[in-house]
Amino acid sequence: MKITDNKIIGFQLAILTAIIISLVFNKYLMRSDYTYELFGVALGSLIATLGIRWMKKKT
Amino acid sequence: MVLGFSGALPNFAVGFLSIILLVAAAEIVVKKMEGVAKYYGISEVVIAMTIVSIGTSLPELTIHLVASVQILLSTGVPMDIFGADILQLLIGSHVEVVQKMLEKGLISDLTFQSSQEMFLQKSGTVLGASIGSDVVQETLVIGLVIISSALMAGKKGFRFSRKFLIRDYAPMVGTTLITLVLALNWEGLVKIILGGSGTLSGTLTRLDGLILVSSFVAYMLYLYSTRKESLATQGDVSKSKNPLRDLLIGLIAMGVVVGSADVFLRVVEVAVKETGLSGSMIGVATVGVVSAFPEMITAISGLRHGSEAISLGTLVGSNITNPLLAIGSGAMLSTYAVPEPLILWDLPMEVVLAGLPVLYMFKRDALGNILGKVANKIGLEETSERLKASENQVLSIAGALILILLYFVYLYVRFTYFPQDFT
Repeated sequence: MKITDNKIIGFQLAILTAIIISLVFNKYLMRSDYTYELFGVALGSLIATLGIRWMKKKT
Repeated sequence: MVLGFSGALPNFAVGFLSIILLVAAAEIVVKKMEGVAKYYGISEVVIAMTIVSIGTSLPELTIHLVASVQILLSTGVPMDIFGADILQLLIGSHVEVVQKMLEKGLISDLTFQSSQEMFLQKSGTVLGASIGSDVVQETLVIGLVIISSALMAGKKGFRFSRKFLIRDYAPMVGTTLITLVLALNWEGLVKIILGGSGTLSGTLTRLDGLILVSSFVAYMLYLYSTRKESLATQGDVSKSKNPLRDLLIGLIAMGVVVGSADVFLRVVEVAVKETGLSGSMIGVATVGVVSAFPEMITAISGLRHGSEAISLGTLVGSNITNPLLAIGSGAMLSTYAVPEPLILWDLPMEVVLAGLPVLYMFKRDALGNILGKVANKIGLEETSERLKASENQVLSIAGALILILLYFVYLYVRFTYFPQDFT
């Protein structure tokens, strides 16, 4: 399988959408205690995706 | 009491032997399985991406999985844990889940207490072991490999290829950063910034574990798409002549790996109770050092065969597998409580210790010019010429010696200022 830029952007968007959905889900189900945890997850996955994107660009 | 032994010295001996056995048996598992996979015609690339890449991290991976199973078993009703509500299971910690089980009357108060205690102690030990082993490799082992390879070749330093720095060294910094971001208690950080009090040590939840493991898969796919050819040349084991016998030996050795991981974790449990040392400190000082041995042996044997790039590749590669796969799969199974010293010292230091050499090697030329001008102004002309001649992507023997020195600074500060896991 070839990793193309579109696939990486797709992966990134999928993660962001999942995070936004879970944040909304979280707020309306009164589970705001998990908001910070989800923020960490969002940031972690963003670093992972951007990192792979950076490596792909540089090599 | 572990395996019928009691007292500090016999326990220490059992613990020490169990780590040696763990690391040695893991080596056998990898060699035999590689031979068997080659016999059945599995492609070299697939073997390199699975058995070889996981291979050098097998001791750490097994310790994580065994500890996670021990945490789950500590409730007495491990399967009931997975009956918790899905959000709590994914984003909550083990303690929150067993607290709910206590409220439902599924477990007793005593079981809750002991499960909570085991969760904290095992988390500390295995996380300390993983991070400890990474720091040893990133400073001491890399430093030693560079010095020995430079001395063997009669050069003053080691030249890294630009691709190696981008594909291997930089991701090593990135994976540590991701682990730090996931392990940090963001709520505590916000409270501290706003002037209140809070703790920075968070939880590695199942969702965090999932992010780590999927990042490992993404990294592997990236490697596959960019360097199929060089992956195929990794791993020097030849095709198995008697696959059934080798498979059996491999399976027995895997049993030894799991058994010795279990014995080791029990010894640590006794040692934490008897000595008052924290689990993560024992992890950093024992498994951390011993589990760096296979990488060190691979690196040195690589040097003897004149393949510095391969030997450093294995070393750095295992530091990517360690946090992503070992910590990730353990967190997916049982979740981990992250000890404070890991957030305040170990993980930030690991980011710095791995990040500094990369930055330095990319900017060495520019830095040398600036320092050269300064040296020229104060009249050190010879030094100025030497500084101006510094090239990018080279780590000199002096640089490697500084890395080794930094390891001892790291250990000294860790043991002096961070004795407790959870306050």
